[in-house]
Amino acid sequence: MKSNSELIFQRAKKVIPGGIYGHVAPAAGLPDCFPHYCKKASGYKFEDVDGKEWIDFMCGFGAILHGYSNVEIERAATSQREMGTVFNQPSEAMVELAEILVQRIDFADWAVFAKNGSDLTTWAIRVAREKTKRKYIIKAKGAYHGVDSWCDPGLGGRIPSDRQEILEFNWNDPDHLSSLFKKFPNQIAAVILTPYHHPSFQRSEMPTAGFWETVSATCKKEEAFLILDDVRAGGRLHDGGSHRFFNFTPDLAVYSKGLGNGYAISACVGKAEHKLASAEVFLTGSCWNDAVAMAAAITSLKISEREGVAKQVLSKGKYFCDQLESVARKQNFPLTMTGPSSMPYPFVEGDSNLFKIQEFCRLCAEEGLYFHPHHNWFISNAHTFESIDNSIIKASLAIDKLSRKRNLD
Amino acid sequence: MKNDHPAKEQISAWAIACSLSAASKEMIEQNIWVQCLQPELQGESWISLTKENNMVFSNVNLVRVAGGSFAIPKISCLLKKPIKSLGALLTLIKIRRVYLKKKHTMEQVRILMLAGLETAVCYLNFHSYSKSIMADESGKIDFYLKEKFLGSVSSSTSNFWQTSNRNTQEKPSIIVTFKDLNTAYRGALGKIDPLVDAAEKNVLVRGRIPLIEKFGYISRLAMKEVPIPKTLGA
Repeated sequence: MKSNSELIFQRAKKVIPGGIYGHVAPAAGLPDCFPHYCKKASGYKFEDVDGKEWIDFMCGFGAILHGYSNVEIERAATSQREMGTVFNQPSEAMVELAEILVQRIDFADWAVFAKNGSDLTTWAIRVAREKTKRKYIIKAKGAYHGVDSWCDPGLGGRIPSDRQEILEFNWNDPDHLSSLFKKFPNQIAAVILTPYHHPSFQRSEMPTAGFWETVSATCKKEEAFLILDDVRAGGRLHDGGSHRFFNFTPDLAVYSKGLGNGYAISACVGKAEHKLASAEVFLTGSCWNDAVAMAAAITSLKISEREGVAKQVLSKGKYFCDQLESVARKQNFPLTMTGPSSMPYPFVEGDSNLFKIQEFCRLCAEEGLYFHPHHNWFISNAHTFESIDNSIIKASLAIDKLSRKRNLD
Repeated sequence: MKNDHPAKEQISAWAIACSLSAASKEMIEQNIWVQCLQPELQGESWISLTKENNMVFSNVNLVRVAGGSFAIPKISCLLKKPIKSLGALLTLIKIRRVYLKKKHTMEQVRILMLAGLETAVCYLNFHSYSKSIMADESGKIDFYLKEKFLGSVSSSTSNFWQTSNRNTQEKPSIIVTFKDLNTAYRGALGKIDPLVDAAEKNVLVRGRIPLIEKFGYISRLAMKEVPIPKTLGA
């Protein structure tokens, strides 16, 4: 008998290319054991369309920072929704949100809004080009900055000119970065980077000592913008932006995932000296002035400040990672949690082809744990130490099964 | 055959020649009487399907033949060794029949899978966009129908890709398992929907996903550009 997930998918494939596409496509995860569709979610749990409850460690791929269906945020969103969502004019919420961001993010003097990270990473590099009148953009090899043609990780729909002005250097290799500046003197408009390197299917890499200092100094010397793509990490490393965690100052920074706690919103903030240039680069979208998402973001930011959410998720994440590594070690499963503890990427030593992590996540799924084998995980502030303890027990059972299976093999 | 380097304009014709060769070799393995096709490039416009150069097609005509249309090989070559030429012609007819066989069998799928993989490999090695996609990739992809091995694609140290019909000891980077004959048949013809078939568990993929994503994209690209005999139900 087919599951509800399968039945819905049968309908989906008739009317949606691929049935489900993008990062949530079953093919990108474990289609043989992950559900295709979700019914509801609250706190750190979600229920799939077949009624199975999961302890979640993906948080809507990072979009959920305070837990699913956070009461305070939902109340603010509902209150705004009762007045309306999108109007002919922006709402006052837009101004309030910009004021909060400017007050919260130390280098920010202005803010603009859109719906997704890509909307504003692409806009940010155009602002840099407008100001510098230069064409080249440098990014780290393997870094994800969105779905636009200059950076998307897919293969279809590309033409050679899409990336003619995009240069790449190896993360944590400032000499490589400098060599690009030498090769293209006075032609680099910006360097766009995530606060730490979080490519999919690979272990995360934190910046080495002095990396950000060197990158910042190089950009300053070369009069190129330093753009921080804080879309994924924003709110999970520091309440004032991830640059504070690593102690550097970008020219522009883009946020999205955690900002609206599941409501579609992104923001780009910048220094005063770039305000005029930013006003020259056209920016709009049909629903980008959505007051509901802005009300959600305002409340989300207030909670983050009031409760010190970044510190909380880092601390809960550290507890989770330490415990998980510890039980794995005891059972001779060489699991290492890489990257920051609030958004760790699991890596199994000697598993470059990912067979072991896939099997581990598959066995964890049997225990009701939603661990993704190919993407970093996320801790939300709704995760409790008790829920983490419970998850560790389940993960330990999975590792035990894995060991027994390996012995049989 | 492996080290021949086709001109840009003859990549699809060369891919056809290589896939016909792979099909003929697998048919011989299965004790089906065919001639072993060993293609050779003859300049930028011609391809010989045999070592003896008795079955030589222009690029255009080879593409037409593969699509099931009528096309004449170089007559002068054909008449050099008429018996051998007849053997090559019969081989082409037999390969075409394998494609058109409606009731799928393991033997048919193995032949078509190896032919299909050879087409993709030709693109991996010679098609500039495909090469650029695979620039940082290496490893081995094993294809199975349930637990039965169908074939593999792997890269050599010089980043040259090759197919094999033998299950070697070398550890795969990816294992692709088709759930039934029909899915494997579609897979051999490049007609797998990577999103739908994975979600419906028609194809189970384990291992380094980016490698199969890239290989799959190139293989679908190759199969779109390279004609195969009109098949039914796929």
